[in-house]
Parts: sequence; C-alpha cells; structure tokens
Amino acid sequence: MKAIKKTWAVAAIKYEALVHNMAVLTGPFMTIGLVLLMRFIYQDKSDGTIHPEALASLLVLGISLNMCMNGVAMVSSLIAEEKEKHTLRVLMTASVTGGEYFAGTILVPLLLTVGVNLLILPITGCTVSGAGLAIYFVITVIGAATSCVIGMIIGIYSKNQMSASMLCMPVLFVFTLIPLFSGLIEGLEKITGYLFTGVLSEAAGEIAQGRVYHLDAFQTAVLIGELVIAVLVFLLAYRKNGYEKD
Amino acid sequence: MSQKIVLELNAVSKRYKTELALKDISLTLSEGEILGFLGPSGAGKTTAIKIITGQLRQTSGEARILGTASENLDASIYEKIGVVSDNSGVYEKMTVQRNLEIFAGILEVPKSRVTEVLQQTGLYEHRKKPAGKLSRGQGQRLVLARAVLHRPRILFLDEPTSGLDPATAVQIHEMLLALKKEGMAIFLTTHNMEEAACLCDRVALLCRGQIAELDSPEALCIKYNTKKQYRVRLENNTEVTLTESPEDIGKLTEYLKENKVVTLHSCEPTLEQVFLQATGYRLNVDQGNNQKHSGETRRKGVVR
Repeated sequence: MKAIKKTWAVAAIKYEALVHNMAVLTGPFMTIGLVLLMRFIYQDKSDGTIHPEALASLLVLGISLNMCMNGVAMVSSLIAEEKEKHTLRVLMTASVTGGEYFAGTILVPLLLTVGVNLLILPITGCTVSGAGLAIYFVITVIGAATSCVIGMIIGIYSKNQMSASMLCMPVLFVFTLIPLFSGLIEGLEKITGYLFTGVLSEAAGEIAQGRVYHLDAFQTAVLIGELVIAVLVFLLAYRKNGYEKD
Repeated sequence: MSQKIVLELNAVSKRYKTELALKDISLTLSEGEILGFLGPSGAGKTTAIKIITGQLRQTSGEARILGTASENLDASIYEKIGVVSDNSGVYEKMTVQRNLEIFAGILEVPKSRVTEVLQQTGLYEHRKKPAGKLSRGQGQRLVLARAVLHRPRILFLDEPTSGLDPATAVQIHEMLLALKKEGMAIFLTTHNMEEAACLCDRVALLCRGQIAELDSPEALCIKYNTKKQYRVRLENNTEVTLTESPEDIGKLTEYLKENKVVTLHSCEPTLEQVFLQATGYRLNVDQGNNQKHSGETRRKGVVR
C-alpha cells in the first residue's frame, strides 16, 4: 500500500511535469501530424485509398516515431529535468525506492505512447480487429515500455535536458532508422531482427496488410529480453548515478 | 543530559582513491541537540552526511543512525529523517502547496500538516505561487518545510543558509531552534561560524577530514582564551584593553566605582579564531563573520 502511494505520487509529479513541458508535449502531436501528412501524400487522389504496402510503411513510420519521440525522448527529458533541478536526490532522500521511482516515472509516458500507437491505427486507415488487434496491442505495449525504459537510462546518465537530447540522438538513429531503412539496405535487414523496433516494424507491417501475425520464439525473446535488460540497466544506473553523480 | 543518542559515529573514515576525505570521525548526537559540523569547503562535511544517511559507504569505522548501521539502511530510513542540502531542488512549476502535498503523499502525512508547516515557515501566503517564482530565501524555507513535513527524528542540514540574506538566515535559525525544542536532533554542517555559535549545542571543528575539537562553542572559546583581556569603553569615549594583572584589575575597579564604564567586554576568541588556532586554517570569512566581540554578539537576533 505504501509502495503504491509513493508510485502514485511519482506518477503525479511526472504528469504535472509533462503538462507543463510544451517541448515534450509536442512529440505526440508531431507524430500524429506527420502520419496524417504522409497519408495525404500516399493516398490515391482519385478515391482516397492507400496501397496496402504504403499503409504498412505508414504504420511502421508512425509507431517508430512514436516510440522514439515520445517513449525515449519524453522520458529522458523528464528525468534529465529532475537531475538538472536537483529533485531526483530529493525523491531518493524522501524514501522513494528505485522500483517505485521506476514505476511512477514510466506510467504516464507509457500510457501516452500506447495511446498514440492505438490512435495511429484509425489515422492511417488501418482496419485491424480481433487477434490482429490483440497482437498489435501486446507488442506495442512491450515496445513502448522498452523505449520508455531506454529513455529513463538516458535521462539518468544525463546532467541536464540538453545533454539528454544529445544522448538521445544515436539511440534514436539505431532504433528508428535501422528498421525504417532495412528494406533498402541489405546489411541493415540482419541487424533489424535483433532490435525491438525491428520486430515491431515487421509485425506492424504485416498487421497493416491484413495478415495475422505470430511472433516466433526469437522475436519474443528479442522483445522481452531487451525490456528486461533495459529495466536492469536502469535500476543499476539509478542506484549508482542517481546518488553519487546527481 | 540523559537524552537518547540517535546518531553515533565510531572511527569513521572515507577514502576516495588517493584522497582521504574523512579520518577516524567519532561523535554522537542526542535527541533535542544541535550538533554543528564545521569546516571549510572540502573538509568532508557533505561526505559525512552522505555516509550517515546511507548514500555513501564508509571505507572503515561504524556509523549508526537510530540504532541501525549505515550499511544496513534502506529507503525506509528517510521516513524517520529529513535531509536538506544546499542544492536541494523543488518542483519549480508546481505551487508551493502542491510541492508539499506531493511529499505528504510520499511520506504518508495528513494534508492538515501541510497547512501547519506552511504557516510555521511563513510560506502560507505564498502557497499558490509556483515554487520557481519564490525568492532564494523563500525557496530554502520551502526545502526546509518539506524536510520537516513528516516530523523527522533527525534533521540533516547541509549549509542551510548558504547565500541567504541575514534576515532570512535568522528566520531559518528561529525555525531550527523551535524544532530542537520539539526534541528533533539536528546535524548541521556549515562554514559560517556565527551561525554555528548561534545554534549549536556542540560543534565539531573539521579540518582535512579530521575532527580537531568537539565541544560546546562556549567551552571552546573559553578553552582557547589563553590571554584573558577585557575591553572597556569609558565615558570620555576612549577604549582601553585591560589584562588580569593586579594593576589593571585595580584600574577596572576604579572605573566601575567612579561609574565611568559605558561598555565592558571579555575578549575570549570567537569561534572563527578558535578554528584558526585549533586547525591552523582560516575558514571562509565571507559569511558575515566580522564580529569583534564574543559572548553577546554571538547570540544577536536569536534567543535559544
């Protein structure tokens, strides 16, 4: 009960920080706006329909941007702000544990990222239902969680919001651009299978084309494994950097 | 004097690679006591607080807080202690009241306590203001308000009045003395000797990681008062300094009999001078430590 109260308090802090941070809040709107713009470009001007492959790439673009701009960048900025303003140590010295801070911090950005992922479906014009929607929901929740945790790791290693933005860049390149360009460059196709965003892109592409998608064991291991690794790295970083390098 | 000991350091040392930050620090802190940990920047004051509160592991020795060894502390210890550092932040975009309400939620404190603390710290009228709009002094009071919200048994203050104007510093001193009266133990680090003399029951003079002296400010000033002198201002506006020689005692008696004395001060050293004598090092003198007199001026503005 105590832990839930503390987690809820941290989530309330993050929510208030988010609604006051216009730079961070523009992320979801930019993602949605970009998807709308690309849909307008891709669609057949005569009847407004989109080729299934174009629809698939639109969905992949949408969720990739959402994961990185909202998941990684939003969370890293929120934590970096906390370090910059010296409030992270205050939370630590107010009996908030690593686990409570983790859960409280991830809650709001995770809901927002998952919400945008679901919103992208009708915006792109994808008609997914039943098993396809369930799989899409599950894999985007896991992907959103992983991207949020990666954002937390970046945030905790950053001294301020500026350095968080800088540190985000290479991470965004790896997790967004490799899956996006994997179809064009042969070498990237092999790498993308090892990235959670790669697995997500492949699944989203298939789902967008109306096919029922099943994750194989390797893809499941990539999705779950990268989430677990990210969580462990974050908890380690919180204990070490949060206290001693604040 | 049978107050319960809440903090105990026994030969605590801390080494950072090649640098020895703390060496054989031993001291105790009791309920309702203010202990000053005095020393210049880099003397090891903040390191000591971090070790005691479990944020840093000592290299050797034992630190016990509320009966628990510091290496066994977990986050729950912060439900019993309060920590204020010189760079403790606040949520600038939230109001003053919201800042406290958030921590009331974390520390399971009733909301009525928030109002009580706002009133105690003189922030009640600013409660609707975003914390980022507060002056530095008001901000520091908010940090202090947050630290005492859950009525901690021990309050750790790391340079609590650093950079504050004298009037705000006095307000904070008054708050601390009120908390002490309630039985709170306060561990105060500062390099402001005037502040230490005003507030502390005992002070530890820290230099290069070692305690050079540990006693009450009065006892230390008396201990280092090796050349006893008295400064006398007379009716004709002249000032004379007298020693304890029979001749000077005779003069003083005569001045007093003839009612010529306007002011009379004993000239025991200030805590600043004691620090210099005890450690051979001078503390920062930019904290208003320009007093010439001892006893009376040390307590100016604050009644303990």
